[in-house]
Amino acid sequence: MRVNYTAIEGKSKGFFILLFVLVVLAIIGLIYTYLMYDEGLGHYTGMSSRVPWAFSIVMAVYYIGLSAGSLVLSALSAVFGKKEYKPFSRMAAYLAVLLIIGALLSIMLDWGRPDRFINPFIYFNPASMFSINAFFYSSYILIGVIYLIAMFTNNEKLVKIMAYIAVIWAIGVHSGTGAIFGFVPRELFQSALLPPSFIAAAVSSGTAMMILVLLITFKATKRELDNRLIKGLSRLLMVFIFVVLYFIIVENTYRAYVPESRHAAIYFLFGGFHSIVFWLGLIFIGSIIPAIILLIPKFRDSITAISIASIFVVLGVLCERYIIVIPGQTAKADLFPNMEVTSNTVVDHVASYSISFPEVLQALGIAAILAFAFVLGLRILNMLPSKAKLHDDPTEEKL
Amino acid sequence: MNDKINRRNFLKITGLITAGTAISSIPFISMSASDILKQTSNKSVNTTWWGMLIDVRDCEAECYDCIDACRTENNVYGSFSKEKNLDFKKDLTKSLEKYKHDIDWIRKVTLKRKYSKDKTQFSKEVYAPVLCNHCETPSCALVCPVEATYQRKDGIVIVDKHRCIGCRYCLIACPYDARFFNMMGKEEWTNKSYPKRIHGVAESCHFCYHRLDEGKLPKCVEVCKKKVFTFGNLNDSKSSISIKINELSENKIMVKGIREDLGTGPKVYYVGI
Repeated sequence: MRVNYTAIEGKSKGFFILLFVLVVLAIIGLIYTYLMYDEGLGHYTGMSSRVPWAFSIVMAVYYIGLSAGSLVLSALSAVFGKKEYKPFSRMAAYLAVLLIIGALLSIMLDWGRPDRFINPFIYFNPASMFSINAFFYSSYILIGVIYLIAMFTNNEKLVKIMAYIAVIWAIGVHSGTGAIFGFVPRELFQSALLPPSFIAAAVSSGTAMMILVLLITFKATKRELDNRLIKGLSRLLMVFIFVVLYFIIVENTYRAYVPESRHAAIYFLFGGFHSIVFWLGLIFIGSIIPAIILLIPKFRDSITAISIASIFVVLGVLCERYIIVIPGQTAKADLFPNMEVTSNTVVDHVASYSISFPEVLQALGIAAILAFAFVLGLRILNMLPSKAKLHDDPTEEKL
Repeated sequence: MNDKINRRNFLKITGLITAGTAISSIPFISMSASDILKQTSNKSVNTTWWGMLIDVRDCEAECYDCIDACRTENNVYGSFSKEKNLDFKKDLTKSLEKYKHDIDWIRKVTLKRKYSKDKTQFSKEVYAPVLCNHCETPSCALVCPVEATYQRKDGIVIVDKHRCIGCRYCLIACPYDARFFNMMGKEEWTNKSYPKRIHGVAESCHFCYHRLDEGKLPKCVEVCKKKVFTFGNLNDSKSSISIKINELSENKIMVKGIREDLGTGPKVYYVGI
């Protein structure tokens, strides 16, 4: 299929206002990041020594998920033979690279010493899941960039090879990220199921995000987008929602069933703010409502309904990331199994966490950097197809 | 648009991939089997292998000597325990916020037996000092991406504060909640014989290695009036800790580490819990 890609014009007033707003947001985020580094994380965030990983790690994990999701979509035409999705592959791959950079930014700006960013490359600990992931992420960026170059130079053979490598790498990146949490001796983390469920949530959120990005970019640039393509993606999204739901059910049933982890399961399911995030955010808004929308024939053909479902899935997976990262830390470690801890000098009392405003600003700043790079990419590179249309009866010539 | 595969371009890009893969796989090539084994215990009979025994039967209710001494010795900021505990009794929620970022390398936990055959023991409270267990297979050192946290040859797990990037993965990985992070950036320097702390890095009890290297005992062991702590070389059968453990086992009194079922191999042993 021959696709014509052109850059967006980017001369309108709205375009420059958008860029300006993004730059302002990014600067605010970076200022707060500097303050956190300079004065100590405790002054600006809700973190404590008992909940050391907070909102920026939630965002990092979320970005990694979106990245792998959009990469898989980008490879739909090259790897899975869905030629009709070729028009989106450039944009999706570009987003995938951007998002993984966003994830790395979120992680590194969250360090106590971002000034020592070179250390993980000098002192590599092969036993650390973090180091293994540092390797995966950086090589993933490299693979993504080569994949993009291949697409922009229309090197079909290389595109195909790189698409395969990239999909395999995305699985590695994801399993690795799941393993950061899953391979740690804490009751709500330790699980061999985390790596695969990470991939499921990644693909689900990635698909939902791509639907939204496609609808928004095509609408904003007044280009033609065939609704059937969006509907096709929404069918995929429905399948992914159920896969994610399946993993959640298996994991929580196991935890609640086995006596060893039952109290942890009860804490997870009915133990405070994170339980609301779980039930309301992930299960109700993030899974059940979009599944219903995409299942009922009346709604599933309407683009508005599909975009609402996508927004819900994107939010739902963010909630999923939150309940992976936070409750695992706030759940008290049961150090003395047959004793009751009646009091403790401070430590055990403070295992609570709430997102602080500066953390949100920092996350917004990083999101703004990504959005800026994305819009700039659309402006500079020939990324967006001038129209995305499904051919009714494709002939050999057209293919 | 040019549809033919541009030979030159193709070669260029293939070269790039090869180079890229080679560069990114350098860490894996340089990693050897010994690197991985390093993470596991290097316990051998000839080396010193520091351990601690805590007899909680002797620990008293309102005594916080070890906690405060540890603060002063290691320049760890935080409020001293007496006033803090008074505050906690007065207003819990307010104190929680106030002392949120206090760091206790050693903390005291009040425990009550949940069930016991011995009725007299049922309601008796015990007080257990909890500190870094200096595990034989420390999961904090296992996960550290820069090998800043490592196990010394004598079994002490310490942090290289000039290498640590402050990613806090070790705080996540430690099942004992024994590791801390300097969230506030306050750097007091009360004890000039121990270096000033560094902001933005992970830290934990290090068995006062600076004192051990001078031939002294860790500060908490030294200040305890009740001799709750016994510190010594586990590999030496004549050391005080080995003698005490032997005595206790002869009397059929259980000596165990916290949550040994986790497989971490804690080297801080407890009697009476």
